[in-house]
Formats: sequence, C-alpha cells, structure tokens
Amino acid sequence: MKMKINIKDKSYDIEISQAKKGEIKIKVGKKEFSFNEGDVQVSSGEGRKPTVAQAYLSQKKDFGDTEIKSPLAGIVSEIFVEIGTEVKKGDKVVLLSAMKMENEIISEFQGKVKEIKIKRNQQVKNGEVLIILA
Amino acid sequence: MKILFFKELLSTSKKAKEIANEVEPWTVVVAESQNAGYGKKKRGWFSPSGGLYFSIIIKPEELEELQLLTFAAGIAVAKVINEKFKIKACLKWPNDVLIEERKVCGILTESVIRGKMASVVVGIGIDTNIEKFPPELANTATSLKVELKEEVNNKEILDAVLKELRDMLKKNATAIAQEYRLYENTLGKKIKVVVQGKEIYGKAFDFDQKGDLIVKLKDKQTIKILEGEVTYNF
Repeated sequence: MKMKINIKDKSYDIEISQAKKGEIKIKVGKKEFSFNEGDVQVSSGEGRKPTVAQAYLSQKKDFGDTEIKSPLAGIVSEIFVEIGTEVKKGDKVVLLSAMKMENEIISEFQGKVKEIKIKRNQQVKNGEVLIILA
Repeated sequence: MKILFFKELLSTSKKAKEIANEVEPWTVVVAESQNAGYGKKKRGWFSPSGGLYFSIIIKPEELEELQLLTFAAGIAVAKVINEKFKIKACLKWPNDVLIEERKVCGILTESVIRGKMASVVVGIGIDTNIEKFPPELANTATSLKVELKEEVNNKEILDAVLKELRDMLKKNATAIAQEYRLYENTLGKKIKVVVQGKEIYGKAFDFDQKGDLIVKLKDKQTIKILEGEVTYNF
C-alpha cells in the first residue's frame, strides 16, 4: 500500500508492505522500518540500525512541537505573537518583567505559534512553558 | 570599555540592543540627543541636546548575578551627583534619581534573552544641561544646570558614573543593599503604588534582600511589591 502524507508543508512517501509472515515493512522516503512479532528492529537506507526508541525520538525532534520556556521567574508584560503567527529564529516573542528589568524573550526556533500558555500580567516560574510552536 | 558616541539616535538603548551580540561587554552607546528616548512601559523620555543619554551593554554569565543591577545603577548616579556637585540626590524605589523630589535621572534596565545567553542594557538619561522642560514635566523634573545655575561637563559625569557602576557590581548583594539604603528616600513615606494598573495605598515599610518593596497597608497587613510605580505623599 502506498500513500503520501503532508506534515508541516513537507510531503512524505509512505509504503507499507508485508515482507514475510509476521513482518511488516514501513518505508518512509528512503528509510525502512521493519516490525517483527516481539523483537522489533529498525533498518534504514544508510545501513544504520537505530533502535525503535531512537527512531521514535528523532522523529519527534523532526516533527514535534517546540516549547519556548521562560528563562527566569517574572511577570508577563507583553506577548508579541498570536496563534498562527509565523515565528522566525531571533524574533521577540514575550516581554517579561523580572528583577526590575524588562526582559525580551527571543525565539531560538522557527515555527508557527500553536499555543500560547500565558496571559498578560501573569506570573511565571523559571522553566515554565510560554509558547508552543508547531 | 569601549564608548561609541553618536550625534543623534532614536534611542541609545535601542541601538545598544541592536549591536549587543556583536560587541564586547561594557560597550557604551552615547548620544547627544535622542529622537525617541524611552523609559519604563515605553513612555517617552525628554531627550534634547544638553542632556546625557547613554546605554551600557553587560553580558552576565547568569542573569541572576544581576539581581540588584537596577539598584546599583541608581546608586552610581546618585553617588556621583552627591559627591561631585554636593547636591543631595535621593533614590525613589526602585531607581528614579530625585533632587528635592524632582526627577533628574531615569534608568531603564532591559535584557535580551536568547536561550541561555543574555545581554543586558542599562539605559540612563540624566538631565544635565537642560534649561527648560515642557509644561507637562515642569513640576516634576529638574536638571543639574537648573539646580547649580551653571553648565556641567557631560563627559566627566559619564566617566564617573561608569566607574561607580563597575565598582558597585564588584560588590556582593548585601553591600549593594546597604549602600542603597544610604541614598533611598522611600521608606517611611505614605505612598501610592501602581501595580499592573491597580492602585495600592500604604506606607513604604522595608525592602527585602531582592530589593522588593514591602508596603504596610491601612489594615496593618504587609504586601510585597515586585514591580510598580511609586508616587509619594498619599
């Protein structure tokens, strides 16, 4: 079975097949994932054999959401983005008042704002998630 | 320490934040006048030529090192005015510098945080050689020239404030807090504090070790103010 899926404007060719009895092969682009009953092994086009956990983690890094966290405790003075805003690396996203300073929180990532976890005048803790980028 | 002089800028702090990534720590941006000088909450700061406007770029390893930076900057300016000109300059919490309850200097500390990297910009505007203020500031602002009835040397004041601030930041938090108490004139006063748009009335009671203001309310309860704008005599 072949299909095409789109994630974050990128297209992936997926092919699912049964190699032999009890083994299913899923091909994503050039990467192949083989599933056996009980023992699960993953093989890739470049000959590497990552574990399923590693394959899952790297997938999550590639496709998952990115959290912008508060680097210090303070009060949210201003939010410079809205849901759906395309954020570039280096963009100012939040202004946080802390230590009698106005602190501009700059995004180190690129992505579309999926969720804003804070409100204006809210007190936030160090490490608290402020914004989620998809 | 590198000092960059400009004839005119929109704002020395804006410029400092733009170049913060590319310059050495303790680079100072100075302008003879600002077209869009600003203070807290992006309120305009009257910046004609004659005044002293500068922003210092500091790059701490840990932002928490600078817990009392905003107080240290206030102390540095108040100390220079007191010692150099023998005028009594006081600090209104947290760091407005006043002469006879009129503001002579405003300080805004900002940081730009990228992951674990932070650049801090201390913006200082001192009304030095300003003769006249617009009507909306006439009753609340003053300048060194108005007080002394003579011109002062901006470069000498700049050098003296930078030296004081560098010395101040070599001290520990307890020493900075002690020195702050020498110059502050907020404690004991009846005040109004505007915190996030809400007005709070009470008596300025004490500071804690982080520099937060403790206010005693009418019902004798105390509250801690982290951020807010203080007005005296309420």
